[in-house]
Amino acid sequence: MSNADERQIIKNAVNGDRRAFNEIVNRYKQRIYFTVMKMVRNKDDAYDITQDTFIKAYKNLDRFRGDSNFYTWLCRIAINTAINFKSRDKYREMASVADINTVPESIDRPDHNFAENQLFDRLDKAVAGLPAQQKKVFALRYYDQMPHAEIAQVLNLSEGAVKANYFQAIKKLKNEFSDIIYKSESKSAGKEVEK
Amino acid sequence: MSCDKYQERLLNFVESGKRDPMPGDLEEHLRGCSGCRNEYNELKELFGFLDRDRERDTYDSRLDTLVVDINEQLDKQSKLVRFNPGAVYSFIGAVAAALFIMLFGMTQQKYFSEDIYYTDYYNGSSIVEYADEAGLGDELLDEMYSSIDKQSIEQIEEYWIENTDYSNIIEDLDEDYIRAIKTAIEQEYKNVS
Repeated sequence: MSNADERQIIKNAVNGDRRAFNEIVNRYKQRIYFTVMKMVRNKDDAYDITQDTFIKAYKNLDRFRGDSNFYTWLCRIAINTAINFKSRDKYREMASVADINTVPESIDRPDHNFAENQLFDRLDKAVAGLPAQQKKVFALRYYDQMPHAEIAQVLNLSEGAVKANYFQAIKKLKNEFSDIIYKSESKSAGKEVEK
Repeated sequence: MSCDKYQERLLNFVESGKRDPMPGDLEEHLRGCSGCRNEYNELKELFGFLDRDRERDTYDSRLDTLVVDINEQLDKQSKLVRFNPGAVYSFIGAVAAALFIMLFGMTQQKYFSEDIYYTDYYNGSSIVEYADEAGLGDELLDEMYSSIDKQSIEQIEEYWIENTDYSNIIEDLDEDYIRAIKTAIEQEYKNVS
């Protein structure tokens, strides 16, 4: 879809054309869901946040000025919604914690062994524990693969601040997994640069 | 060039999936610097793991019906807005009750206002800094946060969406709101002490 097409679709959606809006949803739902999922690390919450994001976007389409990329605008709503999102259902939170502990690996993550699943659980917790700004930058940069300049626009930060937050996030994750990283590092140390 | 700069370049190199060959000067530096060599190996390990994480939870089958779910929500909400005398009277009653509670609450605890959350929302640590200056403890801050209801947060979000370039808002807020907050917290400190 070209930018001109997209602008026309947005214009139609603003004028109440629900089919045009549905096209916007279908175009961006996967990308928004994935980025949000990697921020909140909970499927149900990620789905709810994605839904909320599009509903908010629909209600505010007429306020999209067009001076930034549409996805940048949409992403800003999603990130803000994710940061302020409180899990709606305590029972669901409890259920999801129970899921982590009890769902057999063959159903949940068929391609990974138990040790790897434990590592992923650790990663979920480590990412959840990052400061909000670092979490946002990390999700946008690593998972959404957004350029620094665009992240700066979404989060209203300087590019330097984006890079610094990203660097800090990576450093924290590296420390979090230092036990594993160092173990395997000692096996492969120097190999790459000595070749 | 300092090791910090080399390590920044290493991060970019590893993050890009090593699509291009490593620049010569970087490779040369790694040969002679064990610190950066360790950093490089650690980054490779971490990103190998992160790459595997990127492959999981990429899709949720519920997204197939997201459009339907959203349209149902929007229809529901627009029906609520359409005229329904009973709902309108209930709404007016609820607004009146909320106003009464808000006004009553403001007279009791005037600094527990939306403005405080509002400024913190944009300004990061400003409230904490001012609270520290005023000598207020964490408990008081917790109390302040817990007093903010969902309604005010939604209003803030609405406002935020309306003003996508919120750097201007921060500038606007800096003078008026922060001064008000500082005064309020100092006042509260006097009350507490």
